[in-house]
Amino acid sequence: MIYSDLYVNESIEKIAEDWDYLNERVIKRFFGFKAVGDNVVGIRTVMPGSVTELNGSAPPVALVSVRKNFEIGPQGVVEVPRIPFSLHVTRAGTPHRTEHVFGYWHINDKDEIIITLPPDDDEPGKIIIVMGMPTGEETDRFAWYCEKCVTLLFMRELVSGRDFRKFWAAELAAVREYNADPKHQMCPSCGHKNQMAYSGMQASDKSEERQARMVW
Amino acid sequence: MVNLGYVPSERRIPAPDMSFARLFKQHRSKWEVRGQYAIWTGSRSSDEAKYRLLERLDRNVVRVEQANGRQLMHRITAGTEFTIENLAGYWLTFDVDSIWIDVSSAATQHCVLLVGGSTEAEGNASVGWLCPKCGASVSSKRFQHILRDLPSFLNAADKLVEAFNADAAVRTCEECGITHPPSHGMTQDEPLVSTL
Repeated sequence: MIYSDLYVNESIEKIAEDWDYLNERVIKRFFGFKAVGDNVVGIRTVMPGSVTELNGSAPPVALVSVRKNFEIGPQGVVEVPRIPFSLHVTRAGTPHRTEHVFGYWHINDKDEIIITLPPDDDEPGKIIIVMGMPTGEETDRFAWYCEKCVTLLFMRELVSGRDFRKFWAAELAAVREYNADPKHQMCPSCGHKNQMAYSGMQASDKSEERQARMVW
Repeated sequence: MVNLGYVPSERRIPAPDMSFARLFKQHRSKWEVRGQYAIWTGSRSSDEAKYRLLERLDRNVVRVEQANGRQLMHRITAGTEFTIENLAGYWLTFDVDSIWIDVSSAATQHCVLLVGGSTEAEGNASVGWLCPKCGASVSSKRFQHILRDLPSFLNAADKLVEAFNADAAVRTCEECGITHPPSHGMTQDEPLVSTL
């Protein structure tokens, strides 16, 4: 309290608009990804239930509570827990995906920090995602690996450092290109036929993409 | 393992640093630089004085807190002077953005400070103090490339605190003559050791 003589009298709301990203009015702007200064921020409110309960009122990027998160590392595919009151750092270059939320492996040149917050009174649980704003020739990649033998099947790359606003358009284009040819889903190493892809934006699902979302 | 050009060729190719996790309750105050961010997490029990973010606004101070104690997430814009009460006695300024998250359960306050995101900024910082009476800058020092070696930066900041405390003249405001009370360094569970 050493600086109490210097405290401004007004509430912070009157000094700085949108100062709290978790405010119910502000949080909606982060339902996708939003660039704010040196970082890109996404905030997901966790919906109760499983993916089968998705309906029209769900947010664009719908994070169901029954889901698993995965990364690919030296040991292959590993499940990554989301523990309440924890942060997880997915290091740059690590393929990662979230079951039922986006149907591809995301690989970016920036570290992703994922903070898990449990429900708070009447507030739903939240996942906060913070990653560095890509600049220059830094990229985001959308990749598919064989679910049986982890062979790389298909990948598209966006040089997001040039214009991060193209992320969702590039993501959907990669999903649709992968789905357009069944050969993309066929593993050249083991012959396994893999699932179709789907976007992080669940509202854009075609019927076959919605079916894939229910599965993986 | 096939070595495709890594030098020295007789050694194993070093494995890249992998993803990692931290539970907030594990630490009362811990800094770490790993990857592209400096990350601090801190926890306080309900019977302790809370961590509280203060930002300088000209000659005044803004308390960044929810009146109802609810969760908050706030961007500290690069170049903004800020301090965290009960963490460090000095004010910090970074040339990259920071993100402050303050969440609490019934019994515990958990806070996170993420510093970084930009690959273009040099990672410079300033450490200083404000006059508690008039808000003028009393003393400050600039440090370069602190994200490359955060432990050395934090140790240097603690030495600056010692020098500040040792000389009342350094702590005296040139504008209003008030002497800043002695300060304190960074509160940490255990001091960081430089790996450089």
